[in-house]
Amino acid sequence: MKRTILLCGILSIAMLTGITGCKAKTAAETSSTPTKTELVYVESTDISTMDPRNATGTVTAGILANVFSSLVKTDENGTILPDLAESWKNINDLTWEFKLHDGIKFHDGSQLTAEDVKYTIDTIKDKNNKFRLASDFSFMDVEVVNPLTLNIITDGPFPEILLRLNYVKILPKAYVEKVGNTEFAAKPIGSGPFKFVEWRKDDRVILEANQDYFGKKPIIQKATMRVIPESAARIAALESGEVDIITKVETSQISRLQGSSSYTVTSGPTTRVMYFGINTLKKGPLQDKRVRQALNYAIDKQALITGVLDNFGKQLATISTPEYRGFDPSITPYEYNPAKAKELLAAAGYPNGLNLEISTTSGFLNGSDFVQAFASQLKDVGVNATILEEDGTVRNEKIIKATISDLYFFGFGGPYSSMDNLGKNSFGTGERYSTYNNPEFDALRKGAGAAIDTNEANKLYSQLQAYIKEDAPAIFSHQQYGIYAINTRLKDWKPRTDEMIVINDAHF
Amino acid sequence: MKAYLFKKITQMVVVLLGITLVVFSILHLVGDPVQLLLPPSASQENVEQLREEMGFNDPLLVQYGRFLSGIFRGDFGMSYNYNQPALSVVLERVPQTLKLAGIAFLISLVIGIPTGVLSAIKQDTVTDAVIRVLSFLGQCTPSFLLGIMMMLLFSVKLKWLPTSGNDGWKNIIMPSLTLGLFSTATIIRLLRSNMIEVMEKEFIEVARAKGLKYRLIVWKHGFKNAFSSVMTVLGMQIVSLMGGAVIIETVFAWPGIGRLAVQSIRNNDFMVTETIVILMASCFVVMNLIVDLLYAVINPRVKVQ
Repeated sequence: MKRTILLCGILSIAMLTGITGCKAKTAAETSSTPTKTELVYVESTDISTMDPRNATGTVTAGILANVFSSLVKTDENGTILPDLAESWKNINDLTWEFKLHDGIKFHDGSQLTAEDVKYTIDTIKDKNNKFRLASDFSFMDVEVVNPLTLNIITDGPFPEILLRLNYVKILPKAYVEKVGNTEFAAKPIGSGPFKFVEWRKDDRVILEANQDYFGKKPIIQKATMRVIPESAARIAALESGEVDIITKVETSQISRLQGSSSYTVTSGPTTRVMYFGINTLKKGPLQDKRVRQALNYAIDKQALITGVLDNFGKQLATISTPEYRGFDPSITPYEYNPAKAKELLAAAGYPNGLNLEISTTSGFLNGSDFVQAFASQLKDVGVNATILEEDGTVRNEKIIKATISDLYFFGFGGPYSSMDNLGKNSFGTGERYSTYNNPEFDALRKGAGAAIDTNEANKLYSQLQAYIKEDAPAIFSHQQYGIYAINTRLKDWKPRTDEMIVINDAHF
Repeated sequence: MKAYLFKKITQMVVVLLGITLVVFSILHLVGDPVQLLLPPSASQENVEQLREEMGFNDPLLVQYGRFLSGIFRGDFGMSYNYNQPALSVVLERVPQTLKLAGIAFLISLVIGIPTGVLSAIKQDTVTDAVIRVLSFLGQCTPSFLLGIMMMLLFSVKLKWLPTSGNDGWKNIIMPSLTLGLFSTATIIRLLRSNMIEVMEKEFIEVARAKGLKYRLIVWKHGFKNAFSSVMTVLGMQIVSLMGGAVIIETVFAWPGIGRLAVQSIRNNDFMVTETIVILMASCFVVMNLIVDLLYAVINPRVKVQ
């Protein structure tokens, strides 16, 4: 009797594994048929709102980009493309004229006109609404010329306006006025390729294709963005076939994932500049330019990128990635030259080296290992660095108050990031996230940022990059890469430099 | 009894007040959400304006007073992240956590009680040893690890269950099992030791001598007596299950208050964090009160002490 039971047990286990093996196969087979029209992708954090006027964060921006349209949009490399506006031109340094496509409809069927654009920008700026982005758009005014033409007037020359307008999602004035801001945020209506269906907080956002979209109609009929904070759980969801795209893949998992034919790892540069900020507001050796330069010479950045980031990163010379306007490839990063570093340190009065503290926080790609390796390279030139792991929000506060450690590993990028924006926010005098005061740098940046003419801008931005390299208010490290794992059945989806997940072109 | 009840309730109110004070001070000493709420490009002027609007320029004591009086009116302030009342943000998630903790509790009862009794009556046999080892493992395996292992087995390998999220009854199986395991182990260990103690009592001997059926002796005389002291622990188990949901909800992307708590701390969403802590603390304190009262009812000697 016992033997029969044992036999039955073994048989049933064999059958179970056999059955599941078959199941996996059939799942793979059905997935290769083009009938699948539902896309599921995963982010690590939830969106913050469905009202574009109050939206902060890349994940939110991504969902909004699928539901709403803006005057212009960007492709995955950051190149500006027409969206609602079919053309635009500069009338003068302060005035930009946009002509809208005719016949664009919101998801409720109403027509989109220049009035909607004006309403959107006016209400973002309106102080009574207390929208968080108000300060980012306060410098522009909209003037309606006719239903399909509008002028945007800025309070100073602002050539990067297109990049910024890319994030102004146009709202239906009549609908918002009718239902109010709260109701609108709950049931948003846009004019993008996807319609909003449901947002279950901390769980998922569901979208469906907009059949009346004015641009290229999406092939995907239903899209779900799921929120899975835990990276191991994200990978499990991909491996089980539940989801098609996952974000923030750890490099340690890449070789394992690439071993399967069902999914692949794809990565791409982002506009996020990673650097070791230097707290120059603190009295001490770091106020000496020679010490800051020495630290730059002491680091073999390429070795860090290859060794610690598995090449998921690109070395950067200064505050610009190749995607930014005015990027000058002739300005190269500091060479790795420990002898020169020691020389400079000695010249600055530190022949026996010095002690520094480096602050880091979790969340950066292989951040902890990266900072460890960085510190060990500093040791080679006599700089003893102690590493301080801190909570992200606590650290941000310290940066704001300039009480942060001597060096801090930091990254800046995201929506409408440009050399002007990054230079201002991270290194501008008196800016909240800056630990560097230099009116000369500010003047250069302002000049470059206001140059409408491209040649002129390129010249000024070159000067800016050369200046900041020389003065070294940071140890510029690398361009961060976004790492995604995707199911191989998914076609025509590409990572974007702005880190948003946009699904218009994706299909199975 | 009335005096006892009054004393206990007074204690409860004092404890709750203490908790609000501690939570409030810790959160407000740690950081200033205003700086972090605004985009980096915001000017110092914007920061000052928002700080004034949110009342962060008032002395801490005034802010605490406002917070406390708000609580009595059921107003826990606004969530900065969601821009809606913090209480409603939290209450939206409560059903999810209750569902998870409730099922986990049921699982722990259904598995824990028979296994605990079995372990006791089979004392020092192989069965007992196996149960003891398993319950020991159950108590010391990190739920994080267990969750991921289950996910790999049941979702990735066997494809029986969805890995995470909340999209149907299948989604709750793994998180509730993972969550329930710890309290299952607790029930088994507690019930086993109580049961062994009870089974050595004289009245069991008497029952045996009377020739009662063994099953009847175990369940009616043994278990009933052993369970009454386990019961008081169970009350606390329900609340600690809700607390334990913090990790499980993160691993399984379950949208309950545990996840919300983690996120609110990360986002410096003071009001939501405070609301969660105060609600959880109140649950603990109220549960404690109920347990104390139950104890007093079961064992009148407690009141004298």
